[in-house]
Amino acid sequence: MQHLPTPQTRQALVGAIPNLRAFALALCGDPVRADDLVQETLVKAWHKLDTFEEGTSLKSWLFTILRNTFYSEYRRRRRETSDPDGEHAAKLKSQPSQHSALELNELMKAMDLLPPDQREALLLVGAEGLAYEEVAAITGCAVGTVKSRVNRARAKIAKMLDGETNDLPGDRPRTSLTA
Amino acid sequence: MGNLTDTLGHKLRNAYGHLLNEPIPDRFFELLQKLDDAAKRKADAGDDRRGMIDTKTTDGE
Repeated sequence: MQHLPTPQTRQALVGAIPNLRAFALALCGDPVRADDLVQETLVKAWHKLDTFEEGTSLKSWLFTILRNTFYSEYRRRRRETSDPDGEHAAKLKSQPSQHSALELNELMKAMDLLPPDQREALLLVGAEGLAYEEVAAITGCAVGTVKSRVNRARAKIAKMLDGETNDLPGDRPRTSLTA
Repeated sequence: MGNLTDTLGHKLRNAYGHLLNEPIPDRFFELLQKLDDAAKRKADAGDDRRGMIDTKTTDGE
């Protein structure tokens, strides 16, 4: 039977929405799709609240649901478009940079050049401030793998910052989530 | 390299902080309210059904 969330849990859900929107945007790159992903995540979380372990991080749990939702759809779309190598999906991923309403931050542009696994690891550790162990639990891989992904991501972006590519990060905010 | 990594972390947190500070769209509050209402209705319906069963049991005794 589904339990009604306590006022504290409800408040925690609301409090996590900005983080979920930012994570979703980093994953899919499209503000509209990002908000749809957050909505799907909230609905799923609401119906599975009785499986959430009290005392653990609600935010990490929500990140896990959001990530699983994103990758499920990613795989489904890849099958539907007969795109086994993900080339078409990768193009879809880069579409947001074409949104005229968006002002993309150069740093996030550089992040878009990273493989998805490195991008999400860097975001969760470097921006969200999660521990490697938490990110390992969210992404379902070993702590060492997370550390390696973060290090590789940092090194790649540091090279960009150092001028080894033309994608020099700037100080402008990446985008508004409000398209 | 260390300084660059620090710079990267700083820029990343700045950009991320900017995203976090955006107002939460109304659609999410409306969604939670709908979920809340639906769960309450479901719970109320469950209570009603249990009440009917209890009554039957009492009648049968």
